[in-house]
Amino acid sequence: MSKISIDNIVKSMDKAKETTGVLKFRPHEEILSLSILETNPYNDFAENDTPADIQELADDIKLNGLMHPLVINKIDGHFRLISGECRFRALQKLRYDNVRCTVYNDLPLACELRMLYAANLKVRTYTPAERIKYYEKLKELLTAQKAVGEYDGPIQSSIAGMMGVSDRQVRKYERISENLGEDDKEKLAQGEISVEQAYRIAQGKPKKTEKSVAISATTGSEVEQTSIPKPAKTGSTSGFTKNPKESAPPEKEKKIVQSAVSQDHKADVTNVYTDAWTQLRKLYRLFHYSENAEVANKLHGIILKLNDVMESEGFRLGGSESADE
Amino acid sequence: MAITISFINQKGGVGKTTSSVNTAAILAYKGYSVLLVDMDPQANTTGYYDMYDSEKASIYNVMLRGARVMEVVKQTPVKGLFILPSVLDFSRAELELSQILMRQEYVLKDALSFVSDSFDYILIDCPPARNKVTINALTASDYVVIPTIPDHFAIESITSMGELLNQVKCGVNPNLQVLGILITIDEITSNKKAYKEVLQTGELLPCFDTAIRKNTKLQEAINAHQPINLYDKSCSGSKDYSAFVDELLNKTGSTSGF
Repeated sequence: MSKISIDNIVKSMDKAKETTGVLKFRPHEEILSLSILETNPYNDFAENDTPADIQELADDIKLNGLMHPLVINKIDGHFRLISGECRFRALQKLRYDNVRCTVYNDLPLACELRMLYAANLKVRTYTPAERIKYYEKLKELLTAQKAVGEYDGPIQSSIAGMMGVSDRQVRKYERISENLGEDDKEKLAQGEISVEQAYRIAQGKPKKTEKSVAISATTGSEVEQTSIPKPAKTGSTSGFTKNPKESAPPEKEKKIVQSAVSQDHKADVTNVYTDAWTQLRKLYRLFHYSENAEVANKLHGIILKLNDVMESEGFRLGGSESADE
Repeated sequence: MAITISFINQKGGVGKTTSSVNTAAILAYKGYSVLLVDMDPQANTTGYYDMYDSEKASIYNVMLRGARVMEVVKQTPVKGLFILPSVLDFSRAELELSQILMRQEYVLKDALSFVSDSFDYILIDCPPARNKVTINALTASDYVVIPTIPDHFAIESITSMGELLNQVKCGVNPNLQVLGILITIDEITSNKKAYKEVLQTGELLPCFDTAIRKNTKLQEAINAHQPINLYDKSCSGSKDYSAFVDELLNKTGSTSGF
């Protein structure tokens, strides 16, 4: 086996995928029976469709026909709606049988959710509360996928990509989601306070597992994350600490640290982190392609751990060379 | 409406003709009505069934001389299997197609549209090239199968096919789907094993689970002018192609819920 250069295979595969990757995810049009289509469990926004809305759409379709095909993800034998739940229900009401669909084959869940969110954005306006809720759902999904090794990228910036917002905005959602009390969340839902106001309130509160640091609300700098000792996956209690030394530095020291942390340092860390991640990925694939699943899996675990550590420090992958799958 | 499948790969000698000829025969054996279209001026598919005749009408006449498909199509010795034969002169097609004023890519599709209801499957054997003849085949097709030998050149040729298919999907045939890569002339060598594994991950394009093993009976069958399932039912070539056809039927099964 050693006379075959796996590296050469991997190199040419990477290049080839630039072309075939595009081809794989192009959709095609197909006429499908309504009975095999399934609604999307991530489409909470359909809750807002009233029977009157659906009837109105049904009348329109009866008069003008279905003007825009439904968008479907054909995956694992399922035909799942990405865009068009309202039309789907209207068509069911009309008892139509076969409908025009734009079908994607085996679209990864991340792409599906991004399209779902974007499609809804065109026809619905999201309230801030809905955005936070969607953020929480995506976070739950990606965290679960990461835990079983189905996904090994940075969570926050992926969600940012999916929702079409900046990474900074996603961090704000995170802080609001984690820290905002129920009554404040209700105020946000009712539109009594804005996302910015909610964020400031959320910043004012200390994080749940932290003991000593109250982060100044005037900080606003991007390096505001402090490290929280994460519970170890094996369930040992070494992650939980009663030892003040292991928790975040006291406030005075933190202010000095923050001011000393320059943008240069952040860029340095980001670059080295990205390099390390890219090399580890290459290493992982070398073993993966040479059938050494054991070593490949161990390396995969190292990559996940690296991401965890970096993410908890507020760092994410940068640059375009890390943009492989 | 027939399901139209092209067998393409610009790389020669990878098994396009062997695959299309045997797939067509096995489908016919299973009771489907099949038209095999020979788009290669080398006319190996036509010669396979010993039906080469430069005097008779061919795909050339259909595409460039206004002949009707049903007048040119011939019954092969295999029941249920019909062939639209090719001739050497079809090599002129490339030049003549570029002189057509409009819809150069649709010539084959338009011609086949008249017979689409007469067949269950239309299989198109393409030449080892990226040219107007191939584009005509791709414009007329619902699906594409890419036979390939699992070696380093496979990755390059698949990339090249990928580029072509991207263009076709963006242009003349957005509904074209890649049914899969079909590994052919498979052997138990470490080189082929490595590339086979890489291709079957499906990371490049979908890949059939069935691989066609190297089998000299497949060449012998040509000499006998018989498809492999009739020549030697028990050989690995026959078994592999049968398994491939089952997989293909599965993948092209009706999804409309009828």
